[in-house]
Amino acid sequence: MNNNTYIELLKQYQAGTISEADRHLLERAALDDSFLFDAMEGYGAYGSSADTQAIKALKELKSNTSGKVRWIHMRSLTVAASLVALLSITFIVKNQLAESPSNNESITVASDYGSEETVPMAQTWSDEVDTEKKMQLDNNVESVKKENVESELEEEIDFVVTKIGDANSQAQAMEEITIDTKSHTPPQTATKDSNPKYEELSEAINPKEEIEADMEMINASRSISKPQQKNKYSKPEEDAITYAETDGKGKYILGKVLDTDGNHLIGASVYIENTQIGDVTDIDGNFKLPKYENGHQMVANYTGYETQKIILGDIDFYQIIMPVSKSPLSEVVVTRPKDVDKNKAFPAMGMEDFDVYVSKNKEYPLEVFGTTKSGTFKVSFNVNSDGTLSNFLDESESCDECFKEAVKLLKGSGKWETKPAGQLYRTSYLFEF
Amino acid sequence: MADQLTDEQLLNLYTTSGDDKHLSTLYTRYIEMIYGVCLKYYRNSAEAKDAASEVYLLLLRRAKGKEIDHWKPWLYTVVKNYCLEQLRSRTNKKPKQMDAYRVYSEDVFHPTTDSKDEEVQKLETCIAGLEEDQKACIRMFYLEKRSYQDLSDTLQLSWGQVRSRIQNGRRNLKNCMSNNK
Repeated sequence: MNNNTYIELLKQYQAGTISEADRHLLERAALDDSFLFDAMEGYGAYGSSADTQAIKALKELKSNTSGKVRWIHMRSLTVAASLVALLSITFIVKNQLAESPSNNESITVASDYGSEETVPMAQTWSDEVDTEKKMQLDNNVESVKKENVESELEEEIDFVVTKIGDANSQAQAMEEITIDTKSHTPPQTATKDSNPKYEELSEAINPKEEIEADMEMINASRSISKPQQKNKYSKPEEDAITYAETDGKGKYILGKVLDTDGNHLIGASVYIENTQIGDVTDIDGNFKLPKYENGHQMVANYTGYETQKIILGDIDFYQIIMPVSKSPLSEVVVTRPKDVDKNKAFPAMGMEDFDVYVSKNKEYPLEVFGTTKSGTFKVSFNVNSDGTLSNFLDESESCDECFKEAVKLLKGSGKWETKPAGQLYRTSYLFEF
Repeated sequence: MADQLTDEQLLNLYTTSGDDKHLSTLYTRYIEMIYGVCLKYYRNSAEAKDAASEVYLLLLRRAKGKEIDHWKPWLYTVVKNYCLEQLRSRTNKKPKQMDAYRVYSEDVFHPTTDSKDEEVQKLETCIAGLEEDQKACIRMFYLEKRSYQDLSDTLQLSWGQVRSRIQNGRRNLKNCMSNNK
């Protein structure tokens, strides 16, 4: 029996066409093959008619994905190539622009002033007039030239733009062909053939591989740029604290907590480390602490912002600027409150097993939360002297489906026990969905 | 043909060429298993399908530049950890991460009644000596050849419990059989 045979059998098992004998064979193998076992458990316990379709779709999806990846890859190449072409044209045109006036000058000088070169230097007035004339003329010629070049440039840009448009539509068309016929013809070859000039140009400046590398670098630099921006905000502590004013008596440490944009942070906690001294900022971001010995650390905390620590000195007013936390807030984890009467009333299976039981058996109320959201849900109930549960109450008053599911879970959890035994208790349980 | 190559040969091709198509062949080869495992954890077809396709993308990333000795156990670990991670972040509960994989072996003891009478006799005595729950599982699974699902329904046990009972029973039986020799 080799692996492939088992996969074949699993297919039959999934489709429900497997024979009794083969099924037993497969199940025997699964005893020592966790992978196979888990898959069988999946089909056995949660299998449905939708599975065959899903597997088929997955196989197709995968081949499509590789096609798509190839297409995006080539499209970016095409765009990159066109960009390089555009750049090089602009470069050439600019060069022409830079060169053309000087050319004109020499031509104009030769034709218009060539005869006057023999005129004696004494005639300064005419020289001045001539210079003026010459400059005017030059300007005229230059602007005419410029206009010409600009219209040429425009034409060329139009041309390239249409080329890019063509390239994209061709790439799109080619993509379909690639998927249909699995042919590996890169779409941009068609575009390039139609205009070998640009191919030469772009290849001379940037061979294909380099374009790819460049694109990667651009992407990489993009992804780096974000953290760098954030770093900008995390100013050194000296910047964050500014001396402003004292309260005059020196009895208090006063201060204000701000974010990097200068907004007041309301409800930030400020305290002196290792003491009970602390305050929460008011609506204007102000806090007030009793004066404390220098050298101790004052800590400012605010959810989502970097905690700031400041060593107390001879300053009575602190302006604390809090940069936004660099690490994004991880999910807020809501856990079962510790004060639930777990010592007085608890499931006979034990609280830990009960947690496991709940997490294993709860059915995610999709229609309520959708597939992405999650939430918590609190139910309170009586634990009767005989270990049964009654008087369920929806403490969250938020969702009927959750309540039904919660009651179902609680009722299915078997007997509960109370301590001391035989007494009625009311308790609650927090469900997470 | 790619279909005739072993997993390890395909892996080798993938490592040397870096061509994703070999990885994709390896993925497709195990798609029923991958999807099944996802189904076990997600308990519905739609989510299992999404998870299975996510796994493919994960594989593309994870397998790059890695030296993987054995595809199947490695794949299993990736699939399983993916599912567990996703579910954990959803429920904020920490499911136990099990050992990466068990040792796969074809050479294991399976009690059978096909052998000689003497052996059968011995087997019967040994089965009789098992703990009740193991006894029931061993009988139903090996002698009556009933399915996991059947056992799970009849005995009101989870698939995992059924499996571990059969495994434990089998180990005890093996010990018993070799002791009596």
